[in-house]
Amino acid sequence: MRYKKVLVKMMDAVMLNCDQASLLISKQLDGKISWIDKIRLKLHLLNCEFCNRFNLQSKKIDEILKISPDDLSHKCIHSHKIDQKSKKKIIKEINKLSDNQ
Amino acid sequence: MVPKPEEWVNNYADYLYNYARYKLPSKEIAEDAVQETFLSAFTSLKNFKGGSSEKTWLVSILKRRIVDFYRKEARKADRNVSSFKLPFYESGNFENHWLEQRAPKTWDVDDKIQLDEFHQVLQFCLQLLPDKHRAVFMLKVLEECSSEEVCARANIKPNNLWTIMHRARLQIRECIEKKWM
Repeated sequence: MRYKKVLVKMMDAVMLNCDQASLLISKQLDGKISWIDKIRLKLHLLNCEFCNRFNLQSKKIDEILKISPDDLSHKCIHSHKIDQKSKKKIIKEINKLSDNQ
Repeated sequence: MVPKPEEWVNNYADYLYNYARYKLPSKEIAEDAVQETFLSAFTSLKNFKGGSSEKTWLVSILKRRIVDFYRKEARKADRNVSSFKLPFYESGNFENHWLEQRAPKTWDVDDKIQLDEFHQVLQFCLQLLPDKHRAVFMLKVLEECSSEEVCARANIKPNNLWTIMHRARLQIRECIEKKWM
């Protein structure tokens, strides 16, 4: 009986809940996590479908936010265009600048 | 040779603006960033060696403006506090495990149209974050600043940074799923 209690306690120390696991997933995307956390996270991901999805989705979001301007114009159909009025304003401002120089 | 302002603006303004719109929170802020990019390019024309293309050079200036914008935002006080509740059980047998109805579903974002829509939804969802949190999140994700620098700018401790990143990802993810699926 006593061994069982100790075992449960040990398992609790190693096993992560989803709040902790998703925090580590996020941390791992931003930098490094310790090797012990890596192992705990791997163990958790072995049988948590939700956290696996959170991992993939967070990676996707990061990847899309990091997109380069060329990829953006190649991969996306919708592109934002600047107003003609704003274009004219920019040209005016630049001309003002060169007049002052 | 000094380029003509009209030519530069007509050739590159849309390209720069499209990029700025995807990285900055509003139309107005994106327009300002593009204008500042051109002005800064023209004042420092002598620094342009012509080694890289004009476009690449302008993009590098714009990228700096974007980071500057978020640096300023990160420094601001935390005014609009997030009302986002964590998607985990608060008590009971499943304490700190995903609430089933708010847990991640499978995503399918591979073809062009989906990617395009996904982009738009992501932009919308970023608006839901408090300004300061969004700034911290963007600075970190765009990898233009180290964690130490982000912490120093935002005046937060490292643990706080990880919490902000974690909550931001949970919130953005959930918002995308709601809006897009």
